[in-house]
Amino acid sequence: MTPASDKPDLHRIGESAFTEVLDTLLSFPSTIQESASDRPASAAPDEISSSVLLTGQRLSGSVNLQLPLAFVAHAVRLLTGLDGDAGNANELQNDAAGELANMVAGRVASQLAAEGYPCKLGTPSVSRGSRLTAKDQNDVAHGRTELICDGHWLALEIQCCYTAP
Amino acid sequence: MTPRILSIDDSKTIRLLLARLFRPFACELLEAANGEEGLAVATRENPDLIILDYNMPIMDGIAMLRKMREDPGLKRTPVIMLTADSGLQSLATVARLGVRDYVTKPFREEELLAKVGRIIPLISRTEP
Repeated sequence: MTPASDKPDLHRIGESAFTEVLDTLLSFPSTIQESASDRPASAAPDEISSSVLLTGQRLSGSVNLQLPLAFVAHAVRLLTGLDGDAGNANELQNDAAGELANMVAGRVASQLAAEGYPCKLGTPSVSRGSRLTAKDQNDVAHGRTELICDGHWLALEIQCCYTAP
Repeated sequence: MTPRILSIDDSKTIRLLLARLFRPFACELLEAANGEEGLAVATRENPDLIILDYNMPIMDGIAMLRKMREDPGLKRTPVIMLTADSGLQSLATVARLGVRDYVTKPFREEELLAKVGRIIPLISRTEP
């Protein structure tokens, strides 16, 4: 295992990556939520989870987003000009959620590379109706960011397992 | 002659975003969802510019660029690479393969338009 002091600060990296992507792509200012305790108990079926795997010689991990459907539908409308709420919009909503995860993961990967942990991105995977849960394992480092953006509560979870050089 | 842009990205969201972005301009937008499809469209249509995603299934942007550089009909076609990973490793790779420019996703729309406008003329459809 790599000493703890050498490991990247996943919380800081995630916060920076997530807010930059939302601001650049959607021009949405976001407010970081320091505590998860205020989170409304929204129903998981109304949410989309999207994930991108990170693979490198010194780490393996994932970047996971949890996004309300209403937020994704609004993002689709802004990005494409199409109605993100239309009955046949599921495919497009899934694609947009996957692309958001891809962009956040790209920023995360760049920062990890700058700190000595280069890695490649996998293809985004998307699921509906499941809630992000951090796996409590000793060898897995976590960084969780929750923020309010355009009135929606969004979550990012980065998980990394480091290997010795 | 109307310039033709080939957009190659596995994300439909990005392809639709580019379609919206270039709609006000007198240009034709062609599309493909991966490098293999993109190579076929590029060979058939000979576009004036290719906007190429780096990370795609089936054939990624790097593999497609390598194929293009071996093809006498496509080796001089200008390419702007879109990449989610702004890490030095990926940028060095695309530079070696002679891409004209690159844009890191997410991008400001005006940034991409400026880079495209340096390669092909972007004339508003409303201009006389």
